[in-house]
Amino acid sequence: MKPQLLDIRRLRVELAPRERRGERRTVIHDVSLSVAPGESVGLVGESGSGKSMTAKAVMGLLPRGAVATGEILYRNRAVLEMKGAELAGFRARGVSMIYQDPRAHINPLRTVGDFLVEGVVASGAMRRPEALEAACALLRDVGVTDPRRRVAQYPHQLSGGLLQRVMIVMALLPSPELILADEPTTALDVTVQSDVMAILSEQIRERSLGMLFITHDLDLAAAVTDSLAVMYAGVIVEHGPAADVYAAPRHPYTAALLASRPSPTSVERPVSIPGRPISAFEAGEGCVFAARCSHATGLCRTERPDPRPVATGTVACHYAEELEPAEGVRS
Amino acid sequence: MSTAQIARSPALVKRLARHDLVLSATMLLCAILILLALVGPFVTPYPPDQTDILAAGQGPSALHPLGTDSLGRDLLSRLLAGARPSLLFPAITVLISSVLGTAIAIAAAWHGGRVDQVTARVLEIMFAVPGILVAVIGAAVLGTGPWMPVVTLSLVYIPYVARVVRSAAVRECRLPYVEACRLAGLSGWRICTRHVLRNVAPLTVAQATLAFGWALMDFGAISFLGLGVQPPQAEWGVMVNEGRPEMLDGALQQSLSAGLLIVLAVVTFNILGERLSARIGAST
Repeated sequence: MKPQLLDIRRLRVELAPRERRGERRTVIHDVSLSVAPGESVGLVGESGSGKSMTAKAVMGLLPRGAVATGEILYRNRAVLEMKGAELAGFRARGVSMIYQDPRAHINPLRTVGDFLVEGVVASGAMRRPEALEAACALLRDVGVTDPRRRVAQYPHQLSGGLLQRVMIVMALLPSPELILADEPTTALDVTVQSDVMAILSEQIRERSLGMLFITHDLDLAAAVTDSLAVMYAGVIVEHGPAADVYAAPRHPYTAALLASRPSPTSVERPVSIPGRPISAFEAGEGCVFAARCSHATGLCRTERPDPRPVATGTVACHYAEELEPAEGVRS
Repeated sequence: MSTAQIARSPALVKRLARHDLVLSATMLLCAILILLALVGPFVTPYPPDQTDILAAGQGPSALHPLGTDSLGRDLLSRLLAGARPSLLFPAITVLISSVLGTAIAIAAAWHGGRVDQVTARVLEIMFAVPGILVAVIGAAVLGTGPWMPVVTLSLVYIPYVARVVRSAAVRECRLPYVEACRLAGLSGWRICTRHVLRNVAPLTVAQATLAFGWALMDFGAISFLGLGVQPPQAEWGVMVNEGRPEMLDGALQQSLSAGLLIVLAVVTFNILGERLSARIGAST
């Protein structure tokens, strides 16, 4: 087995109960996922499927009172057990995070330059002048003109697309090995989206960084990642090479998700998935997707399937082998 | 960049004062009061403690613009000399309680949960205790003099700043950028001092300005009761008290002039504080 950069093994996360003596709410049932150095992994799912919570767990930023079991290994160091300085060092140098909404994640009262260099200066990796120099060079790399003027400006003076590039630079500046991108383009205009995404994946490739790319956009994920994990109600239902999952989805949920996208070439209504998306803590004993699955049997409702190897990937479905791969999209 | 920062402060004052006559007027009055405290003791026409029995109890005249007290001391000189202790001691008090209050507020907001809840309740209890009462008890324990109320009122005024700043800091700590800071590997201390403190600082200043008005009144009252600044030193609260027997003889000028100055200062700083709070509220 090749050495992994990030290895998540059987992660389970429960949030603190809402009331005293209430029940703990499970938000992630069972997530196993790994990112090799230089590999891009897409984590795709609907809102509430637990994809952002997975990212938070990786950064050691679970909400107060949350309990995480299983293992998260970063270069064979257990993230869940890190504390204080070790955790700060891991956050400062190991992993960087790119957020969905850059405007909310930058202190509005400080300049772009202050925001960019604070992390590396505080961790002692660089001194302020050289950090600013490096930031300007990176800003130029991601297509920001006149970076010297930009670093003296405040966030409100920059557009969303520009700000997301700033965010990308901030993430790259400490030379991390892993980037967590949580819906990095969702808050942007469509025209800007593809720009920013192109810049991000270009930077990731050039530096051969590992990336965990979190999105609800299956097409986008398939386009920019090497492997794809599809998440539903706190469970990874299908995991495999991006092209295969996209072209021949084997889990009924993945297939339904692909079928429910609006098509650019037809005006017909997309096929929606019956029922409503459930939260992880609503899932009963059986398969998390059983209630909405057209293939579900009694077995599906009573016993949760473990992920099993099928073709090039893994699928968490009792009938993974029997079901024909659905009509996907050939890229 | 540095020149831009220097240029910002006068620009800020100008921006605050624009279109707001009341704010402009109170800022001007504040400047005058601060100037009084700075240079007042140096520009007295007579030594403030110089008695002159022959000129005792006079009304306003060319020699004594505000008249004299029962010992013949020049009232204008005493008011000018009294400006410094009257304003300085409340200022020190508010400075101490603002620093402590803000530190407590941010620490509570940062830790959240039970720490925050307990701090909030304790602050509320402290808020319910009347300041004058604490100062009187303090005088019994620590003795009289200007520094006694500085110590006791510093404690009393902590919740005035801390309560408001805490609620702002709690809101600030929940903003996504704070999480982003943690992910950048910044320490809690650094996030609190460089980000949260900086962003709640305007509110702290506004709240401290308000508290200064109240502290000034409390100090006047404590000196009036004879527990603060001790006669013969000139101080406005002391002067109101010294003017009391004179009032019975119909000579109002000592109590009235010192009292009016206290009222003027209190009202000025209250309006300024309120306006600043309102401005900050409107801009966030």
